[in-house]
Amino acid sequence: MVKLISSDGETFSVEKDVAERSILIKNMIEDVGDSSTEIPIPNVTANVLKKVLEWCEHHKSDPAPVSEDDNDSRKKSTDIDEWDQKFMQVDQEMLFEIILAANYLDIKALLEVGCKTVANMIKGKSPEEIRRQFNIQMDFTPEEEAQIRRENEWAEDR
Amino acid sequence: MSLFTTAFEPPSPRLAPAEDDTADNSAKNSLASGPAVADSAVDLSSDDENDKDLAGLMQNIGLYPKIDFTSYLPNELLPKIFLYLDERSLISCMQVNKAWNSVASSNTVWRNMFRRYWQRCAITRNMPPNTNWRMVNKTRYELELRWRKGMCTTKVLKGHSDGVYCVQFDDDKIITGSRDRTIRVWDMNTLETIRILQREIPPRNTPEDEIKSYYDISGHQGSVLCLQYDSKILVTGSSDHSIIIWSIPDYKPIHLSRHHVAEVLDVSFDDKYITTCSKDGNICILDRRDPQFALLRTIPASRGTVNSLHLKRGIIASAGVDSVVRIWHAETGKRIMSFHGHDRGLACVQISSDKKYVVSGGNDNKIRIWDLKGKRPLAILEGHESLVRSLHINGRKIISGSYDQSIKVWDFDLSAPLLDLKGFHSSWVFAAKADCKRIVSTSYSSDVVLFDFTDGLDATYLPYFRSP
Repeated sequence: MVKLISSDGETFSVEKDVAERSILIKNMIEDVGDSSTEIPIPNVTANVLKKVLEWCEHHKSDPAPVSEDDNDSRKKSTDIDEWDQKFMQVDQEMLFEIILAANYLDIKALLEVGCKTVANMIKGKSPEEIRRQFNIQMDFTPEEEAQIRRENEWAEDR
Repeated sequence: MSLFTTAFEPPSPRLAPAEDDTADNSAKNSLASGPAVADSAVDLSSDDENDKDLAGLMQNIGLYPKIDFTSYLPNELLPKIFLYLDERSLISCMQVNKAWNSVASSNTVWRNMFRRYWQRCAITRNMPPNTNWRMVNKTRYELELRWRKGMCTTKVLKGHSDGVYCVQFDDDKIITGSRDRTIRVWDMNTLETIRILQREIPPRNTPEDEIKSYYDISGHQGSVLCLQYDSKILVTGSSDHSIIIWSIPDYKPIHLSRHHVAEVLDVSFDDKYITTCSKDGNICILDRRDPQFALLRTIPASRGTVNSLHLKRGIIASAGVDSVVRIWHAETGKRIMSFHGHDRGLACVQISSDKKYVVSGGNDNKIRIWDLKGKRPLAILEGHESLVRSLHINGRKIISGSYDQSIKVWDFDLSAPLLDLKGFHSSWVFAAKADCKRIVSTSYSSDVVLFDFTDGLDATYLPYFRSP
């Protein structure tokens, strides 16, 4: 078992192969040479770390990622596996925190799922729908907006 | 030379996939509109009223804050998110506000987009400095749209005096082989014949003349049935039972082989082997690296005619009148596997560029896609009304030519028809090849037809597009 300490001081005891989904933690364990030491995770709070470890637990026996070329071409790039889709049904703050944590802890597959989830929130939406989705203020002048639209007419429905 | 634009109605998908996962797809879901998005619970804060997901609901009534992630996440993570977007969504992002515009319009994001979505259909090489990758995508998008809508101009190349059996082309030239016993090299830009490779007619009065004639390698004495070229050699096979190897770019005959005792029906070579098949039922494998192109092996492949073969990275696929597709190991000549399923004789076979699939077509008017790892056909493409004479795989497209006088383009991933080009040939189609910009096809009549999908497109980046 490995002990992980979140930034707000909570301790999590997890199996080694679960913790080692994180390349950062894996390297730290290798450096220390002793998996029983406590490992501080200063950038991740307990509620986020708990969520991340839940993902690591579910994916602990996943095979090593295949290279881009070996991916089945029949699979679309934004497909997310069903368990991961449910896992990612969280509020926006948690979603972005998971992405930040996955990036910091170096968990490539989780980072990918997080990025795909955000991409799917954008996909197929109009600029106005995206603004509403993420509460964004528009700051273009009408002229600027018209120009961008003109330059990109090629991708509109024909 | 005629020039006109074709509009076409896509053929109704008479599709009989052997695997369920392709059955629900339609051609509409293909490339340019972006990958299909799972409609299920991913979209957790959709404005859709029907969204029953609790988190989404709470977000809609404002319990959870909405966050502009472009200011929440570090800059280096943003391209990782935009990487998964299609063109139209990315363009929407550019219109959100100034901060989003600067991320979504960046060259990095658009270069990634090209690599992710288009690399399997077209590759670019030696791109100029300061390449505007958004414009590269625009050109590629418009090109793909033309394929999907059948928007092309056609030109007819006249020169051969009889049916044209085989063709290959690149950005500079087209090479065709004909029943008139000649090989023609055409300039891709002017579409004029720049070379005619044919036998010099020798006097045949004395027995010495006969012997000289036998060893004359200046050209074929019969129909030119098959050909392939690369940057160094051109190999042609003929009904005179011989193959001639020509040097490129000067088109000098450098070698003549007579290993078959009947018509040479197909040829396929790589940097190691030259393989040929024949009406005599054999496959011959020659050593391409040997100056004398020594015969390495003869495989008695079938009791009947072997009409077609394709060599790809160490394996050979062959198909013929006995309706069986066979896969051979090029180095040992051992048979690896056989595919049974076609009811009638086969005319053509191709291995996909990723070496995962084999595609075959023949007298039962059907095209079958076989998984090299399995035994069953992955899909059966139906639509041709007569013998499928020619198959060619380019990127994610399958191009088929048939004795029903049509050329069809199929989406490999969806196993669905994309394009039906009818009315351009007035006779059996013998060969049809494609790159990412055009199709060139030949038929029993002497005309060679070029379908150009690039006419009128912005030419800045077009020359850099190559087929993979």
